[in-house]
Amino acid sequence: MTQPNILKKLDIYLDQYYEKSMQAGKYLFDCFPADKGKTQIRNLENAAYTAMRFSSIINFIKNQMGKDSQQHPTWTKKVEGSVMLGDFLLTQLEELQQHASSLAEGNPDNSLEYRLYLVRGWARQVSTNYFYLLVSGG
Amino acid sequence: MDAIDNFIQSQEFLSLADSYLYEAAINKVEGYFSRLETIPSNLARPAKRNQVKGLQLSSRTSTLFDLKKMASNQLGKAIKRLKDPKNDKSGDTLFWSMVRDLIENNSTDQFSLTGLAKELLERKNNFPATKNEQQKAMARMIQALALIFFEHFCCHYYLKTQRLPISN
Repeated sequence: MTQPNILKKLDIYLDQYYEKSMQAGKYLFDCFPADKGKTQIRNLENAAYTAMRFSSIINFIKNQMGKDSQQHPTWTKKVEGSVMLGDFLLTQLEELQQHASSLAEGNPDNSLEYRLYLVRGWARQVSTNYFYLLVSGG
Repeated sequence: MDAIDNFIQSQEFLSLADSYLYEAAINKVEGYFSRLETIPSNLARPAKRNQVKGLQLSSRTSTLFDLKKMASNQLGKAIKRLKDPKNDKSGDTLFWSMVRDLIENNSTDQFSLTGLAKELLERKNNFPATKNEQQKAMARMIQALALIFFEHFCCHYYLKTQRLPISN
C-alpha cells in the first residue's frame, strides 16, 4: 500500500502534468470522430484501470497503432509535425514511468505501483478532457 | 505448484515482465528489422502480420512443445519457399528461426524463455524434487513468461510494420 506522503507526491505530479494530459485529450478529440472515438477512449481507460502491468497500456497503444488503417488513420494520425498520436501518448507514458522510477528510488515493486497509480490518473485526465470536448464541440 | 503461481502473481514477477522481458522483446524485434537490412531486398519482406498474430494467439493457449512445433513448422515452410539456392535467408526464415531460438536455444549467453524459466525457478528455490514435478513447474513458468513476452514482442512488431513505407 502506497504511503500517504508518496500518494501526495504522485497527486502533485499529476496536477502538474494536467496541461499535458489536456493536450493529449485534445489530440484524441482531433483524431477520433465521435462515433468511433468513444469506444476507443473507453478501451484506453479500461486498459489503464485494469492493468496489472504498466506495459499493458503501452502494448494497448502499440497494438492499436499497428492495426490502424493507412487510409483513415486515427492512432497513427499526425498531431505535431511528423509525430503520430500514438507516439505522442507513448512519450507521455515514458515521462510518467520515469517519474515513478525516480520516486521509487530503485525499488522495482514500488516503481510498478507508482507507475500504475500515475497512469490511471493520467488516463482519467485524458479521457475526461476528450469527453468534455466531445459534448462542448471542441 | 502453489509457490510458482504465487510467484507469477507477485510484484517481483510483474516488475520483471515490465522491465526485463519488455526490453528483451523490444530488442529482439529491433534486431530482426536490422537483420532484414542485411539480406537482398527482394527477400527482406518482414513476416506477415497475420502470422505474428497467430504466434501471439498461440502463446496464450499453447504449451512450450506446441509453440516450438509451430515455429519449426513455419520455418520449414519458409525454407521451402526460398527458390534461389544461393540465398538461404528471407524475412520469414529469419523470423521463425528467431522465434524458435527465443523459445529454446543451447547458448547460455543468449536469451531464451526456457533458459529464463529455469533460472527463475532455481533462483527462487522453486525447483521441485521429482522430474515429473520439475517438468510441470517449467511448463507453468514458461507459459507465464511466453504469454507476456510475446505480447510485448508482437505489439512492438505491429508498430514497426505500421511504420514501414508499405505495410504488409
